[in-house]
Amino acid sequence: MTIHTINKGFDLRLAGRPDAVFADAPEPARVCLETAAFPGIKPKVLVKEGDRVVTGQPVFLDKTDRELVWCSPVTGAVLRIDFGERRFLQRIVIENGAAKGGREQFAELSRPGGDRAAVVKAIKAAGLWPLLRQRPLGKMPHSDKVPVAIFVNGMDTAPLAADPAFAVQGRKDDLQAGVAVLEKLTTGKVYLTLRAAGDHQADLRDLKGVEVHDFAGPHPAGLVGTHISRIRPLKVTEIAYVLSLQDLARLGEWARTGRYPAKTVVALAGSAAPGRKYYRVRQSAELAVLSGGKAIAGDVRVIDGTVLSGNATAPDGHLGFHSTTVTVIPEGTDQRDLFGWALPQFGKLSFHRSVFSWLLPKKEYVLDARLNGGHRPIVNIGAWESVTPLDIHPSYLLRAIQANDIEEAVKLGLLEVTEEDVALCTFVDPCKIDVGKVIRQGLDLYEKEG
Amino acid sequence: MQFLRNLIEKQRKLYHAPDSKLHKVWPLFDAFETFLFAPDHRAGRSGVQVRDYVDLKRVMNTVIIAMLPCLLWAIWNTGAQHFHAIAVMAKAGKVTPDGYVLGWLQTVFPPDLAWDASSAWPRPFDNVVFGLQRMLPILLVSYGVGLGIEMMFSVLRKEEVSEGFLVSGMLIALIVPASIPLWQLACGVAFAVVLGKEVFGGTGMNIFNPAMMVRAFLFFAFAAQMSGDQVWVAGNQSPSGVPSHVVDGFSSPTALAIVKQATTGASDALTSVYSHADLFFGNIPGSAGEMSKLAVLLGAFWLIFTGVGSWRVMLAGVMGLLASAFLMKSVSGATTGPISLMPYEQLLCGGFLFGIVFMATDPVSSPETNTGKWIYGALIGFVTILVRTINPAYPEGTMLAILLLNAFAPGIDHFVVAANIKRRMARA
Repeated sequence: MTIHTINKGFDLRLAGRPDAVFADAPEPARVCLETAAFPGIKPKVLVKEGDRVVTGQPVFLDKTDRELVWCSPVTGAVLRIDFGERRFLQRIVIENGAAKGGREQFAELSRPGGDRAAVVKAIKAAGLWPLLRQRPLGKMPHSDKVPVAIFVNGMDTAPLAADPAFAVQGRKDDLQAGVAVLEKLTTGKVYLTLRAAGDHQADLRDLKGVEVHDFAGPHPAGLVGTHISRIRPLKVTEIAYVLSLQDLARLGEWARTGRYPAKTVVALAGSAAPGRKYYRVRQSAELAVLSGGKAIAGDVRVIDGTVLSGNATAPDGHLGFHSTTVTVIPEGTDQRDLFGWALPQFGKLSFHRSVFSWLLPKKEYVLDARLNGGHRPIVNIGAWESVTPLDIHPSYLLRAIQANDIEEAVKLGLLEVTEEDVALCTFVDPCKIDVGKVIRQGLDLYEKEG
Repeated sequence: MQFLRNLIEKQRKLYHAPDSKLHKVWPLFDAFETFLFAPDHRAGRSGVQVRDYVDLKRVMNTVIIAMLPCLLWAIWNTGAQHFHAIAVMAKAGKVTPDGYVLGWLQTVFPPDLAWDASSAWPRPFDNVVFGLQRMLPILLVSYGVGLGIEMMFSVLRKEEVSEGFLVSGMLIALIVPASIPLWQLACGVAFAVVLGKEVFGGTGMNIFNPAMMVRAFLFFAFAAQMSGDQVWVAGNQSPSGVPSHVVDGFSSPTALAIVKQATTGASDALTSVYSHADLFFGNIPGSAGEMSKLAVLLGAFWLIFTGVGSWRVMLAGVMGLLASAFLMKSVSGATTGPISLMPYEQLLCGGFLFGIVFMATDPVSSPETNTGKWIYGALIGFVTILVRTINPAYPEGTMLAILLLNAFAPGIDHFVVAANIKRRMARA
């Protein structure tokens, strides 16, 4: 065990942490599978509206890799199929029979076995390949390239994020079975990263076949980008697979039982969230099942993910494929502070010391979605550098991307980051530049240019 | 407050819609509105959903707060130096109460003009009145001309007005002699903002520190009003042919001018006129900002504490200056001239401390990498000493040093970034 201590970073002290208790969310009336979460795929629908499907039955596949399918997480009837421009599949909504007391049936899935190719094929056929993401790029990997390592992230330092170690409590067998699957996928090691001196880790530290690394320090100490840079930096030609602890447990559950792992654990958090705790819930379920059946109302922003890395969804929306945290914060519509830039400001959260939140190191703050300023050109007062533990120069990387000089951007470390690794830069920037958006533009351009 | 909001909301429709009558000047309305109320922008719906409370307005405001001790001292000391000069001239019989010309503010708050050879000086209230009388118009011209041009360019570019000049305007007021004729100042500001900043694309794009450009322009264009022994103490007279507000006939060399002209040991020459305490606390003539080192240090602590000013640049600059001064002194072995000045006295004299704290740390015109900041700061200290000791003409080198290193800043960063690339390539 090695402890890596991260010094650069910042923990947003937000109000609304989820209580460490589990609850079973009710069965959702319907689930929804979105294709937008998997950029780059060319989906082909395998079902029609009205078709009956069982849990684990493929509902669409990727035309660029026809073995790659996505499965229904419920047993029920296909309610609606939405297409966008040029009949591009956007979403499939499936009615959940279990909500009306129907019996759940499971599709027979082949379990992993044999060599790497066979295991890959089985994972794809079980609809679980999308659980994996790769570095660089931070997207679903193409299965033909063998990763030099696999990183399982057992910690999350993002504000109000669900604790992965808590979420997988009591699933040691699933996790161990998952590790066995991962070992088949890579020629290198499987790494498990944990928060140094964290809770609920007894089972995790017992796992066989993984190399455990501990990380301490403020966010982004819990991001896989930080872990890779400290444990095994990738060369330009190499890739690594990354996945969360919960996704590992889902993979293991399938490997053990041969059934589609349709249930996940999602933490409801945030100052505007009712009943903050950990919910056992169906994948892709309606959000309303976390708030007693009714959509969360009011001037709020419901985020699938954390405040640093997530997507705002409609209050009557649904969970995503990878969801582990749902954060609800006030939207802050039409709230405009008089002389906000000049007055001392005691109740506001800031990384900078010109706002006095450093005086109250224990206080938890309620943050809304306001930008608190206008967009300006880059004026770099060194804040980006003080929240970036990676060996990159964020401002130069950004300028290279903005100049469309991808070759230079790669030299400057473009492939070592994704949006989430620079999220703190965006947060602390007085010029309100969306650094992550620029990074994603750069990564997209890199992919396009090959 | 709600009343104010309603009032603004009512006006907004005149400006906001693209086909409205006054849409062309929308950036001006926006600047005014966001000066009062934080703008109604919210974070995008994907990615980072919350933002820090600090915006560029607050960053600039933090720097302005850091400069307040300097400004306050400048107001006081401009008056104090003026009445000190009057006292000296009165004792010599060159000025009489009848011959004293009142300035614009002094006609409202007239100074105590009942003096004779044995009168007690200083006169605190009169000092402040005189200081305000000089500093307020300078600030007004600096901000008025600069912000006016910035707003004009914002309208032309259809962009929000940027806050960069809020700091530049104050800096400019603090680095010119209080006796500067206002029309010259206006020319300098216009030159610097247009050719030093806007032609590059405005805030965030300039190569040179805009305030330093003003000083450089004035220094070379109006040398008579920017250098020499007669410009550092402001007066009210404006004799024909001399477009200046100096105390006529009064000569008061700055500390560095004394050092430059020293034919004996520079330290002795300096301390025979100004004590170390005077130099530190600021009982000396000079540009507003360079007077009190104490005021600069207060500002430096605030900038470092808030993280707005780079401590690396400041520390590297001071260390670079001290080390270079020590080296020059010991290598040359000189016992006379500016080269013989004690290193710490180099720090106490002139505008170096102000320059390294407030001007070299400008985030736009300095290197962005931490290693680059160390190199940049140290080189500013080194070049300053080089100009002060080797150059035969200029007593002070801070301005030239900072402008030179502004030009080199991207180059310094280039090497630091190249090293980063090399490390990365070594892994591949």
